[in-house]
Amino acid sequence: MFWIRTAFKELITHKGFSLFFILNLALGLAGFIAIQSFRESLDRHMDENLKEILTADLVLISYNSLTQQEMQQADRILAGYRDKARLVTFFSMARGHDRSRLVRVMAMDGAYPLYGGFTFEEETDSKDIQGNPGLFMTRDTARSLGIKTDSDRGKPVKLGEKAFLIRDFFKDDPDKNLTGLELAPKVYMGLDQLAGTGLIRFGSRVRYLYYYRFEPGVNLEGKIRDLKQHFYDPVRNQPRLNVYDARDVNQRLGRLSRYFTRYMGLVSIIALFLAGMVAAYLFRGFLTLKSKEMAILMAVGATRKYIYFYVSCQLLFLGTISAGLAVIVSMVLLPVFPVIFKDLIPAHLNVGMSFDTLAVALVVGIAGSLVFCLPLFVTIFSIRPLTLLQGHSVTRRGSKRKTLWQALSFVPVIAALFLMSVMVSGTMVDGALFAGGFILALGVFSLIGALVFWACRFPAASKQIPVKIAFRNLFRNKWSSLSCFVTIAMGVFLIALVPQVRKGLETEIIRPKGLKIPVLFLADIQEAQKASLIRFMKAQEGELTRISPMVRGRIKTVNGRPFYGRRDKSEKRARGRRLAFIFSFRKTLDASEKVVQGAPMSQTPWEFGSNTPFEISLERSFADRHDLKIGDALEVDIQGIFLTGKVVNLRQVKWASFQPNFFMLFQDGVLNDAPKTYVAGISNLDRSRRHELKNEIVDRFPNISVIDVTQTAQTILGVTDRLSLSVKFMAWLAIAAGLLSIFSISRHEAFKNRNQINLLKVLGTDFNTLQLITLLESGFVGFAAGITALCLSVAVSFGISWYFFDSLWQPAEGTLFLILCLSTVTCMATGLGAAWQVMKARPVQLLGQG
Amino acid sequence: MGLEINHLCKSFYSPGTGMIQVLNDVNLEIRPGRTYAVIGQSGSGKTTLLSLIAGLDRPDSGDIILDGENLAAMNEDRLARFRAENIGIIFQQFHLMPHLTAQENISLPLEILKVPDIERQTHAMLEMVGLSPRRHHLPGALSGGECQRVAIARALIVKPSLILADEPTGNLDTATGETVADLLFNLVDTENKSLILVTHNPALADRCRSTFTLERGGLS
Amino acid sequence: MPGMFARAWGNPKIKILFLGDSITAGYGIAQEDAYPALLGQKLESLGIHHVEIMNGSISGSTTASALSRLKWFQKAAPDILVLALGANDGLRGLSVENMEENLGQTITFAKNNNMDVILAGMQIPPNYGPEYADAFKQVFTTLADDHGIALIPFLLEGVGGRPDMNQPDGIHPNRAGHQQIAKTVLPFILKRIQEP
Repeated sequence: MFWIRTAFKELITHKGFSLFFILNLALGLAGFIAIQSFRESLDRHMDENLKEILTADLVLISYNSLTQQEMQQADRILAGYRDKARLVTFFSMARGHDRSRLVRVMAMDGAYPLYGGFTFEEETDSKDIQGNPGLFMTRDTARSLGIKTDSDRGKPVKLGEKAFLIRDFFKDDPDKNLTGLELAPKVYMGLDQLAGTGLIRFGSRVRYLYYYRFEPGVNLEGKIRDLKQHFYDPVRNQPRLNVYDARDVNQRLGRLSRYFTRYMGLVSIIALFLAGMVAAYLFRGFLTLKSKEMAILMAVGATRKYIYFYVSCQLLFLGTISAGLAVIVSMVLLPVFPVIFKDLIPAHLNVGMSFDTLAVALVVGIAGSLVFCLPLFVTIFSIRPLTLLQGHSVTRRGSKRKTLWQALSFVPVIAALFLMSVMVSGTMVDGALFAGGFILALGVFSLIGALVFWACRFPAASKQIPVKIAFRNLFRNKWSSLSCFVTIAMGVFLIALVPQVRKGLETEIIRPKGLKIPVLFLADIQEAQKASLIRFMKAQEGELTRISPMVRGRIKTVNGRPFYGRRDKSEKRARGRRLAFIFSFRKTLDASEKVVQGAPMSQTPWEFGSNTPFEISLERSFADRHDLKIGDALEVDIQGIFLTGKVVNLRQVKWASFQPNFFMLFQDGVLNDAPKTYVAGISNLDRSRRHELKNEIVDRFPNISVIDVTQTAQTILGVTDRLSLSVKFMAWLAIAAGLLSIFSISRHEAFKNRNQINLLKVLGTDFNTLQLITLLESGFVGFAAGITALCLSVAVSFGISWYFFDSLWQPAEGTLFLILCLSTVTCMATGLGAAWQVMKARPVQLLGQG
Repeated sequence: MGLEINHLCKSFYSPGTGMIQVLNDVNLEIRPGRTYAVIGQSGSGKTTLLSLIAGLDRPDSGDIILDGENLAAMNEDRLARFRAENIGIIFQQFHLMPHLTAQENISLPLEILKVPDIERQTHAMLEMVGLSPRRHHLPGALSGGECQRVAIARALIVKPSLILADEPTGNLDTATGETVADLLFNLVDTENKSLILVTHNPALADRCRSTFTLERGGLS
Repeated sequence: MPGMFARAWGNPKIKILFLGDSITAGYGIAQEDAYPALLGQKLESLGIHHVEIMNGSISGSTTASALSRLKWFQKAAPDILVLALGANDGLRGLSVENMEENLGQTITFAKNNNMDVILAGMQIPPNYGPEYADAFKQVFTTLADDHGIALIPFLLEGVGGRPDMNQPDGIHPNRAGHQQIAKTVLPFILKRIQEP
């Protein structure tokens, strides 16, 4: 108790230092909390978005209606769900006023949709078509059924043997079809109205969808596994129904959200490392300052045990207060963020702190104080009160025992680092990579820093006094300079990773400039129709883009072995392995794709019948899925002709760009004469004109499928735009948090240097010189650390992009330069601030200080 | 070199007791080439007086006129420059730069003043204080006496007209203290400097030509 | 393109070309298990060795591509054409008139090139509504009558709508389904081969 009291009394006596320490650590932790909270909020936001696209948390899809018994079983497995909705969908010919057309019937129950909703022209409720033969459709659909004016609304639309009336027109419906392929417009009706249509009977091709909504936070993975197991069909060797959740809404979105999650994880880890680093640095400085006091305490008879206890009390106290302060500051500031950064973060983003985040911040602040300081506790080990009498340094260098302890004391630090990395990144391997990378970076910076400060001896020999003094300080204080250097370098390094990874990610998310997002997509254009279609489109508004050939074929063998028997990497595929694929060829790659591995395809056409294999370019995820590599020889069957090609490169394709892209591209000359169809996009078309054009094309070229990608494109682009906005904001937040850390560190360093500055002042150094010395000293450390960190960050961010983000990497020289300037300026400004403080203060302080 | 102190007053705020008048109408005249001792009990304001004379602190009122210039009227930069050129300060705690060698600590004021021929002057000074063999050692490796000799050398290197010493032997054992004091007085004599020495060591005070006692804020 | 159809040329075998969509292509199963390949095996087992099966089917294809594809395969000079297209036209709700025209042109071209044509009749699931389903079904009968060719009344007889015969998607036959189709088609092939 005495020790606790003494510890607190001491902290209170030195309230200046205590306050300073608490503020610095709280700043670092607040940065972490802010980033982590944003990450969680954004995660939640994106998750909600995906759910809206799915309209539920979980969907069961079956081609057969589930029996009562099966339904009960499903409900039992999914016990705990909040809501449930049903939908039956199928294609049918709808007979309108004077014509019929194919529609997709969506027969929904009153609970549909669980997320999202309709936007109607009138004040209709989506339940209004339950219990009566009413329909919801778009005005365009109605028009194509011959119901052109509102007065026509009284005319029935016949589905099967039953007549329906249009209840309302919707502008937006909850069903977001992201496959892009919409064969027919949707028409909604009440589920109970299916009776009497005569459409559902033996042989009908109908899909039954069962939607489930859960309370937030329910883990669905186990339930999905159980469902798949329970509905397993041993005869067909696959589940009788498909189960989807928000994660597999769509491959395109899935990839993006996977990137996004990883990116957020990266940013969180960086924030955590930054906070931990600041904590460790400050605690270390604290102990160094305290070493003399400890010696005094020992001199008056305290045992080492009590010293540890005493210091731990102080550290715990400071850490707790800092963490508490950080939490309070974040609680006050975070809700204001969306207001301040209105255009920088997605609208409707609900920023809140989770208990986990606060807990981690508290743990870093409290336990971190002990874990991070373990290596320094070993220093206490070597404090000898005897030295007090000699009036010098109170620690003694190196016994073997001390070295051993020192080495051992790092084990918990590394373990904590590893644990935190695993926790934030989610996987063992990624966590180990991050922790390993962190330690490696520390090593590299220490090495380079040692070299830099060793080299400071050269400018220290300068005739210029400020230069001489500044560099001599750095050179002579190399251990202290080094720790400052390493910490700042780590800070800059960590924050510089983010914008570089971000820039790469943005190339995937953001549509490339000049890329035209098509309004309509045309498929199944026959060879014979190509010329007339081009002629027809010339006379129309809108531009026919990227007419791409498509040839169907099969992969027979890979390196001489049958393709069919090979094991598929992704066991997810419910259907049998596909054999039929689409091949294409193009003279130049589209703006939405690029070769990421291997050589570009040769420009010379392949000579048909030649013995050399032709060149094949594969989309990377496709190659991954089918376990195909560069150099693999593929024997393909192009409608009866067997040809062999070799994989020469892998491409990365931005699927979200809505351009016609292909998994497999062949060398020019291979497919030129093969029977093929074409796909093309139509862009530069006023959206209001698209229905008219669609109808004209269908009239003139009935076999051509016209796919309206406007809604799909809007949905996906909306999500990607929000993603890229978030990614950008997180990058800036990370930079801000990093600068805060750098500020904390350099402020602490400047604080330590006050005595030295003061002495120089007492010795008669004028303010300008003092200023120059400080600027040189702090600026040099900041700049040298910054430039070193940036160099390493370029290499490491490239590695991260390669490992986590499929090599999406772009140099971000502008941001890097900004980070370098900002970190250098931060160091200089804090150094200067300290110098000013000293200049303002009376040097008399020095006389009084021991 | 003459120093004139007129009606010097200084008070401090102390939590608990309120304002404390440390110096109250202190008047003092120092003539060139002479040594003065200021004695008094702990807390009598000796160090405060010294720091005012050194320009390290500002008086509440009164003038400190050194060679016709009023320290109280100078700005910080002018004061720093003036201090570098005219006043040498020796602290009880030595206050050496821990990362600089003995030689570098001594030459630091010359470097600040940017005078030519630093090396020769420093060597001569090292020789004078008898530290030539230890000139490449850091303060941590020097004994207390050696440290104080470095501090004395640092104070004298710019050939200031006035030397201020605050308990120069306070941190040293008697024998070492005596050696350091010998050195200090010899140097002051040979260089013909004025010296103001604050101490409560009567033996040390006796070696000065004049002695003032600081009591209840005033000199006698 | 010399050598392209080497396997077909210089061979006295009777060449049977299947021009179809995903059903005939064997979507979702091994090509050896698709009904054209099964027919080949069956013929072998019946001791008929002078037959070569060519499967020129493409998943998702409509009748619009039939003629151009047949022209491509014409280089291999097939003797018998099994025309099994139209299902995708129906599933996509394309006009039956267009389908009839496309198939008609293809049959005419085949006949002009001395091919025996077997037309596979298709039906559309009942959810498309009775009117369309009837009109669709009628096209095949009309074509067979007009051109005087053989008609398999319904290719998916005993397969369509039966879960045990189809893959989980309910539309593509599984291995058992293909066995059944092969059974349906076999008599028509045998008839062509045995009475040249």
